[in-house]
Amino acid sequence: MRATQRRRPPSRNLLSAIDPDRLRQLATSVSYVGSVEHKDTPSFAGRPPRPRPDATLCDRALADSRDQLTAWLRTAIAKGAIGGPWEGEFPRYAWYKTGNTVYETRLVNRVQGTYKGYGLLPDEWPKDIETYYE
Amino acid sequence: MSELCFDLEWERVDGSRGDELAATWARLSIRVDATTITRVNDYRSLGLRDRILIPLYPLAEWIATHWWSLLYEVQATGRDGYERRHNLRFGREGFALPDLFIKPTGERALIEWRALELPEARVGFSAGGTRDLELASIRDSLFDLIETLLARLDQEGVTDTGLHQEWRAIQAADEAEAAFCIAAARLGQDPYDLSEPEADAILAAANRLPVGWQDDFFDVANSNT
Repeated sequence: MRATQRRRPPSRNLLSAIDPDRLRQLATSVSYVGSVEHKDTPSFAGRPPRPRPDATLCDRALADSRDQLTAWLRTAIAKGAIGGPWEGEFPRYAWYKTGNTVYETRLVNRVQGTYKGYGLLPDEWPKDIETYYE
Repeated sequence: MSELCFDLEWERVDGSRGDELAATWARLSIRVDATTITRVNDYRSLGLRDRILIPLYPLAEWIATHWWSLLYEVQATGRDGYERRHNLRFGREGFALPDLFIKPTGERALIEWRALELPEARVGFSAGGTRDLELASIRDSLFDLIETLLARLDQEGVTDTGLHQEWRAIQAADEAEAAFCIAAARLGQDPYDLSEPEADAILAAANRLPVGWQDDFFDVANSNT
């Protein structure tokens, strides 16, 4: 038996020990773009909407809330509520909690640092995510 | 012989973001014998259908990332996160996937699926059930699914993804390294996310035990002690 030399962070687990300065800088370079398959109304993600039959649909109240969603994404990253793998300079996942809902944002362009997002079921929340939003 | 079958038909979906997602949209059905696990109530069209339309990349990467656990971790009490390592739903990334467990029991595995409502996707998986299958057949089905995805990604010019990297590492593991990965998985651990002391503890335990005892030991041991 021989130990593997390969190391990589577990997927979709909260990363730890990230330099706060790095997080703050990272947060300024990301933005939320959404994706049309999660929209059933015209939105900043694209017109016309193209809702797919098995895609989680976005809250219609957020259809024109790109700035708010970008702010949520940047808050999540600044707090370090992020998960691997790293893709270029950006974490693939970031999580924002508001009320009793956790949204997972997912990197869709590793050059531009743009993300889309969707809600999670409670048992899909990353372990200990609540501690980032107390 | 009963098998877990992944049957897919590629689709083009305009406007989808994320290269690896856009390249792998497909209509997927998952079946065991005559039972279609992906049969859904579609609350938008008010009908039933057997296939789900999703990008397959997240599911394939989830399977590869949890490969050793899916095939070797026996369910044991006191283990954190077992469901996240064995339930395909945790690979869905905002799309509908059934609540489908793969639970190895040795040379066989229990496939277990449960009804699941996904109101934000406006679908519901209505059926539940269990089947006892040969582990080797499940392994072959998962292997074929990943290989099919990789071929699709390569054809679409999407290369060196996380799935490519993970699969390369798994396929490159020789017998000695695979034995370590299997032991770690049996302990409920990710072999690629261990500290050096944790890895050394696994090797030390394996060196002390007769080969015939190792599987049973790692199946029940608590990695925190």
